[in-house]
Amino acid sequence: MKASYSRYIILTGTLIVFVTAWWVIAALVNNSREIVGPVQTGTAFISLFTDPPLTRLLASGLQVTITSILLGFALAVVVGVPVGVLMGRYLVVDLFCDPWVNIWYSIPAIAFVPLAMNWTGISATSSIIIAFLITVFTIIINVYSGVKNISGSLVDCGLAYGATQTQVMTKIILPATLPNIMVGLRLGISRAIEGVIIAEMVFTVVGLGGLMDDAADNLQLAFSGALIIVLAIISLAFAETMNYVARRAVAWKESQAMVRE
Amino acid sequence: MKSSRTTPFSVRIVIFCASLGLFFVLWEVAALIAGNSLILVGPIPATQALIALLQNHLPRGTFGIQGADAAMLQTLVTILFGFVLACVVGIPVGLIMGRWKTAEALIDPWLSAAYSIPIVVLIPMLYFAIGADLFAEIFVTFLITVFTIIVNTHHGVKYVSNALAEVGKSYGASESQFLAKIILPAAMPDIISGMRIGMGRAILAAVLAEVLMSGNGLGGMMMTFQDVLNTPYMMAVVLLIASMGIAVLQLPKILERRLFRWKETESIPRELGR
Amino acid sequence: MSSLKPSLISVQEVTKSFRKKGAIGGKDESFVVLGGVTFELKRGSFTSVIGPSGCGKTTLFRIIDGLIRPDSGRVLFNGEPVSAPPPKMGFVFQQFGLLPWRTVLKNVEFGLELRGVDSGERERVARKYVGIVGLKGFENHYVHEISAGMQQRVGLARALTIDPDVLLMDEPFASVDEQTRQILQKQLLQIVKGTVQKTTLFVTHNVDEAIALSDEIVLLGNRPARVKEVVSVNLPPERWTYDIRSDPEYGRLWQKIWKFLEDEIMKTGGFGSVPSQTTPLRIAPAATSHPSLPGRASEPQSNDIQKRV
Repeated sequence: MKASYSRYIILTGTLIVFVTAWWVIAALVNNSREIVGPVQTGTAFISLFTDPPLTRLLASGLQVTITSILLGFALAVVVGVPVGVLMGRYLVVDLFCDPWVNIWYSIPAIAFVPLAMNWTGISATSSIIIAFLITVFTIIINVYSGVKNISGSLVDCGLAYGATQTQVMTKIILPATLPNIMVGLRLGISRAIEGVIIAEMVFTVVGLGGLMDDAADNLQLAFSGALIIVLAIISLAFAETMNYVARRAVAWKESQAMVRE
Repeated sequence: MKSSRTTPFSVRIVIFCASLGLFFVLWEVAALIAGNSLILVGPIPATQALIALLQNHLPRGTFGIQGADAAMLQTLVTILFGFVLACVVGIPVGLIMGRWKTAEALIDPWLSAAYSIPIVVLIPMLYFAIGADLFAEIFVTFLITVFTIIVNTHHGVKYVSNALAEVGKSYGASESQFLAKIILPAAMPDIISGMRIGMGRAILAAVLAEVLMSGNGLGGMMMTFQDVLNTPYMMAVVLLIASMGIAVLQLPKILERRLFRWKETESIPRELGR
Repeated sequence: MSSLKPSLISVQEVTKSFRKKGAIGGKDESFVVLGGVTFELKRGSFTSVIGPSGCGKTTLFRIIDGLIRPDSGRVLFNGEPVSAPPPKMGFVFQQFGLLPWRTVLKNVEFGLELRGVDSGERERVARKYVGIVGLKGFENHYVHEISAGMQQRVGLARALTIDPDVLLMDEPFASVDEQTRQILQKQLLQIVKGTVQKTTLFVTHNVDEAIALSDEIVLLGNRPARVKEVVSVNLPPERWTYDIRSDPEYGRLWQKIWKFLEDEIMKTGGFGSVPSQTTPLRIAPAATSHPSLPGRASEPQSNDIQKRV
């Protein structure tokens, strides 16, 4: 318990230092076309919640962005976990899919954007597709790695006691892989968020990323900054939720080797 | 990937070529379904465009943009300088964090934040603060890459096995001997792996910066072709960017496996960082 | 030259406790691992320290070699108190502790390298000891290319190159299979009693090993650990030349030490009851045949679950 308190203290401390430095730099530059200080950004942030038209804008943008993130992520999980398990369990699937997973994983998110634009237009759907493509391979790789490293003797044990293939899968492989699935999810949510934001920044008319880009274009840097803060809070919330879920789901495993690729 | 090693190489090549062929077939089918060459073109037109591009032939209607070689050079320069800067800063920081608890406690919360929050979101703001010239793009690339490098280096240094640390202490190693002879060699696989993943991030960052900030380089070129609805050429650039990502992330793995064969004792490849 | 004391190492009333983190919401507990350990290591002697698993042997070892500090009491080495790993102590670890990115030769040179010995001299000395431990020809192999038994011999060679006054060995053969272990024991004795003559302090939980190797055996009790007794082993020297296990003295010692260990182990509980050594065995009636188990007929060779159909 003590450890996490000191962590928050340090975080607050360094945050104060950072904000002070920011304030100093902004004051020195003194050009609201280039950089806005923490005070103005803070004011803009508050007005996002107090000024009704702004709040409406924020709400609609948030709704689009959060929905895109969740849908893209959920799709990636629904597709990624089974594929990863199958790859880890069956050699045929592994040999077939392995090069492709690695190849598609290596493509930078931005390369998917124009193609998605062509296919489903400048819309949330495109964001979802991009987020899905970015996230699914991370999940596959982590789940695959987890399944492959299940001790063979566990499976032997099951077979010796007369387990069917389905039982081996549900009673041995899936529970044993759960830690790796959780790690994949934790990493995946961050990637999904990034994918959606990249898409929205390029599209500029959708969601939170679009709002932020828009504000920046109109030289309302304070609002742009405020929206970044909103995004930061949401991202941290997602990440912490995933962390919590992961910890609860796998309390029995003391250490997890990670394949964060 | 133990079983991949025991399957004969020839079998793997055959299966890979088969699935590669399948991929091109599916691509062609998808293009036919789309039916509209503005949305998607098949592998043949895309490859033709790619070849033309590499010969520096730009299509009609695209005046005033850089030639393909200039664009590629720009992007490569951005990536490389941003990456090298990130290593020069990131590896020492990771080392210090792994070695001294105070540094770790101070910096770690920021690292977690940088990993949970998509720092690409800062690009538009940075555009206003520092402009859109090459240095700005290099800085953006540096910023996005450095965290990956720090995290991986930190992990490699921190988890140097206790047994090795004890050996160092028992034989009376000084701090600098400890760092040079035990910590650095032991952490090297993680550091190199971090550099590999960092390169991937650098590519993303550089192209994204070009798309959002300057409109130069490969990223800018891709969006220019997109704007004039020249899909074959757009896809050619996409193929270029994708190939860079693939080459940078996958090819060094082969080298890594050879160089670090002594790490065979670990069953799971511990690769970190997006 | 100062007078050489007969005791090379003197352990005096060493105590050590550890704090264990309590369960969430509970308090941290403190438990005493070493409760006042005292014994002497005589110059030229091969002394084993034996005790039940978990009794704190490894902690004691680390206090003796200066890696951790005792709560009270002290360790004297050549009359000087130990506060950091002394340069004249050589260590051999249970997990070998070899640097996996170095060859055998470079690993053996490690101690000399840290002491700034020049490379020509280093190599010469290292090669000599590589030969002494019987690994000639393997100088350029990497650690993962050699067996566990060979790896431990590299660890021994490394310790010997720094010409220590004493060898400290922390269950060095625990990570090695039994057959290799027996051979390594003989080879170790040949080296430290024959070729290079080193005073040795040897930590183990294996009774057979302690008797086979030692001149004296220190019996360490369970937590809080204290020295229960120091047993002298009156077996002839040069034990690598004949089969000591046929000597009746061996059997007597074995029974005595095992009785001590068994009593200590049973104190920790968790074993249910075990018949004492004096109860005669009863033969169970013949078992009926079991139905055959499903599964594969042959032994799977690999851990690979993709190979399990």
